[in-house]
Amino acid sequence: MKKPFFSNPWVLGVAAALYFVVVATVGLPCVFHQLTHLYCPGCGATRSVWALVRGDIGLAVRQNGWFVLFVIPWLVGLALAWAGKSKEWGKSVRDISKRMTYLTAYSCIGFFVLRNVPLAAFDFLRPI
Amino acid sequence: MEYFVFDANGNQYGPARIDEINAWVREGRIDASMHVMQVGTTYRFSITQLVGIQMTEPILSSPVQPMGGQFQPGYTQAPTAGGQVQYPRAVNHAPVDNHLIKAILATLCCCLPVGVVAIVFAAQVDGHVRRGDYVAAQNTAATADTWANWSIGLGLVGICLNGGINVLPMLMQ
Repeated sequence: MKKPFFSNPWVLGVAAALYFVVVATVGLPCVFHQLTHLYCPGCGATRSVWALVRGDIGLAVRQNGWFVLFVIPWLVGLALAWAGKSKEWGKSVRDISKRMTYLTAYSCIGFFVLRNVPLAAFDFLRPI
Repeated sequence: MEYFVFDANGNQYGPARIDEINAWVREGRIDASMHVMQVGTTYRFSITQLVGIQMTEPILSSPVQPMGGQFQPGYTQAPTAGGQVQYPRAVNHAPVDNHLIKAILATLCCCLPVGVVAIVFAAQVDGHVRRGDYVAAQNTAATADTWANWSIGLGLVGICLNGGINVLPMLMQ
C-alpha cells in the first residue's frame, strides 16, 4: 500500500513549522475552536511558544502547560534519540524517549478531557 | 547440528537448528538466561555461548523478557521422550512501527479528536508485540496509521477552511 505523501515525517515537520510561523505572525484563530468551542490539547501552544520566545515562562505555562511541560521535553528527547541512533549513549536515550512518548500520549488525552470540563476549577488549563 | 533449548524453568524446546534458534531470538522467544545442549550430548551451556547465535542488543541487556521465560503459543513443547513433533516454521517478524509519535503530532498539530483515536490504537501496538500477537499488532498499527492520516487530512481541510473563514474576510477589508 502506497503511503500518502504527508505521512513522511519530514513533510509533516516542515509543513507544521510553516503553518506555525504563519499562524503566529498573522494571528489566525483556530477553526476547530471556532466551530466546536472545544479546547484541543494544542490550544494555546502558539501563544505559549510566543511567550517562551519572549522569556516569559510563567505565561507560557499558563497558556498551555501541557505543551511546555510534556511536549517540548518529548520533542527534545526525540531529537536526542535520533541524534544518538548509532551511538553508545543512544540506547538509554531511546528507552527514555520511548517512555516519554507514552507519557505524552496519555497526558494528551487526559489534558484534552480536563481542559474542556466546564467548571471554573479547570479554568487554569484553558489559554487566555 | 541441532540443539535443545532450555528456559529458566527447565522446559525443553527443540531440537532446532541454529538458524531456527536465531529466528526465535528475533521473535523475542529467547532470552540470555536460557541454555542449550547439542543433540547427542549431555553438556548444557549458556545460549549466549552458542557459536553462531545472533543475540540482539535488548535481549542481552535484559535477561528476563516480559513474557517471563514462557514460550508463546505457536511452539509446542517438545516431549521429553520419543514421538515426532512438528514445529511450526519460525517466521521472521519485522519490528512493528506503532505510529505513536505520528499520532501525537497529528493530534497536536491538526487539532482533531480523530488524532486521539490514533493515539489510543497506537498505544496498544507494543502490548500486542509483547504478547507475541503479531497479527493483532500489525492490524492495530495499521488502524492507528489510518486514523492519524485522517487526522492530518482533516487538519489540511481545516487549514483550507481557515483560509475561507478567517483569511478571506481579512483580505477583503
